[in-house]
Amino acid sequence: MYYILKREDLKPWLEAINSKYTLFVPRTRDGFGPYEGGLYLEGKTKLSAKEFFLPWREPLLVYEARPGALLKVVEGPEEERVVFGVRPCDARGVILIEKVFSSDPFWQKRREATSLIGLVCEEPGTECFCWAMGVNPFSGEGLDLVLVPHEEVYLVKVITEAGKKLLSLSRAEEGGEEEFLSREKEFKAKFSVSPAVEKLREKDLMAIYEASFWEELALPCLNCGACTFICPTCYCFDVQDEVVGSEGVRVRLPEACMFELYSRHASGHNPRRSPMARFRNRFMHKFKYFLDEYGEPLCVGCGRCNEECPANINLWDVIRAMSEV
Amino acid sequence: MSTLTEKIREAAQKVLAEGLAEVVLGYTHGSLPYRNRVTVVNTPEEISRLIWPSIGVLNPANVLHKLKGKKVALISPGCVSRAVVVLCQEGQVKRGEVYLLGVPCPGMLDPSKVRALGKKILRLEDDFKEKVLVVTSEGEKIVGREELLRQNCLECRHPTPLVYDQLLEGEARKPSPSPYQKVEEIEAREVSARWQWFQEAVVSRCIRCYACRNACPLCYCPTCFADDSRPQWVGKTRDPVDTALYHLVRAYHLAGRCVDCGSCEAACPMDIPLRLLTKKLEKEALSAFSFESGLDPEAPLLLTTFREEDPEDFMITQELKALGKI
Repeated sequence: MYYILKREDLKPWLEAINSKYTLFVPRTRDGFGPYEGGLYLEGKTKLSAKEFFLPWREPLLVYEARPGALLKVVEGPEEERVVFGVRPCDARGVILIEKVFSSDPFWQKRREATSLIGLVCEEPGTECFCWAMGVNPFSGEGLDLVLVPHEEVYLVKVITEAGKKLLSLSRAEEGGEEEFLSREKEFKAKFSVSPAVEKLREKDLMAIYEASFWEELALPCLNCGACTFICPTCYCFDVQDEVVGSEGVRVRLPEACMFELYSRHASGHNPRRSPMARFRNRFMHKFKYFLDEYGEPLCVGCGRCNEECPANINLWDVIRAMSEV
Repeated sequence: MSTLTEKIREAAQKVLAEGLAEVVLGYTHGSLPYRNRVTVVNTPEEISRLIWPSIGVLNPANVLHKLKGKKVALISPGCVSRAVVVLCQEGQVKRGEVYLLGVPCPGMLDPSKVRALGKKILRLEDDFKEKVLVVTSEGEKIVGREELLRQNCLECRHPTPLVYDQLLEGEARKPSPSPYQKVEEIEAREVSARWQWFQEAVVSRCIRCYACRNACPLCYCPTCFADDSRPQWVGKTRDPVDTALYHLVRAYHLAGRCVDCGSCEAACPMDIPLRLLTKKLEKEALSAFSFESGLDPEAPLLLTTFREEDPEDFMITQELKALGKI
């Protein structure tokens, strides 16, 4: 089902959603926040929509910090949330992470309580390459509704029943299918999946792992967590006990495989002691381990890492080297 | 007249040919017009990769620890030379192991200021004197260099290195007459407004990726206090108290040491104005002890030095003395 929403009808619609649900929107270039009238729609945000499902701090259980005390599992959020302005690449990231987290009760609860309204980019950003990773932004994958900015209107495709219900709060009118499909066709004709992905599928894992290019490519890398934290598909986490007085909370939080601490064992042994080994792991995970395990690369081509990496590590330098071993 | 890039390549060639160093550590082009990359070269062919960058991001002295055991020639504008001097003073690097190829620095451009000029930045043409031509998806713009310089370059007191093995010819930026203007703007505010600035501009936006720490050439602790788990000094989530603690301790660890190379701020993926914290401490060191870091490898470190005339106004007895009570 396709609809047309006038641009001037966007804000009244968001107000209507906000009065019934808790609405989050891209507020500034930094990222998402509760709707307060302001919107940042000029491009993708620095922080992706991943935080709605893998929050920066997820309490898992609470306990009294004394021997023999019982644990109490924390119930996840139940409040219905709507997130507007999710880029299709970010939504695809949720689908990829779900392959790993599908049986996690905290993930499930967040997914059930959250509706996503997608917004296709006006034009690809400097470092965008979603198409190369097989993302079709018009497909609506992972979303409840998808909006395409088109001249003076938004072309809207309804993906789910929940999406239809949300759209019924707007002044959108049926129509626009032809324009939507022609925009999708245009996009597909212009951009195609990178042949590197197929090449990587065929490559021998150990041949890539032991290749000599890793040292050179990893040299400038700072082994900070900038790329992993802004990445919409990186999902590695840490579990910490926060104890204040006799009250303990066990929390889950994002962690980065780039950090030495991440792979250090309790014994002190670290299988990825060298900075190069940690650098290699991040790309092997995305473009070989995950690809072999789940059939798709763990990347949605948002380009955030390429834009923000302080050492200017470019993902394509690594993919090229990996696929040409 | 040859460009700085040409002079750097020529000097690098000579340094390697004369066996003064085994490798040259410097800058090369990045994959985007507003980025550059740190690189290590050791053959005449690779030397053509070296450039003098328009854009400032990381301090290549940060890579020295990865090249331990090799004699390294380092392309060194003022702040890079100063970082090496501090590393020498602190016993991390031996002066004889690093050949400092000094560059009189014309200042580097701020990637964020350049990015703000258009939707897509396609190309930069920098005369390294007055103007930069920025080609964006919306057209061409000619912008004065001063407008695009990084804040630490605008506030730099030593664009030309004082410590070097060889100094290339060229015209450096003039030392800044007002290095603490931005710090003073924050200082002038009420306590509560300063706290609010710290919370809004720094703490609430930080994602704890530690790019600032890892980019710093002077952060080299084998285990950072932020990573220590026995005991755990600071919580690891984005809780404001923990994040504030991380930033305050990071800044204090650089008191009397920071050379204001701007790497921390340039590395931050969230564009947090981190430098202001270390700049404030630099100002304190200068005003209280007339001390500037990284100018002399033989000089003692600020925090390991005691002089009788050192101000002690933080001591209660000092205050009581002033009041005539003791």
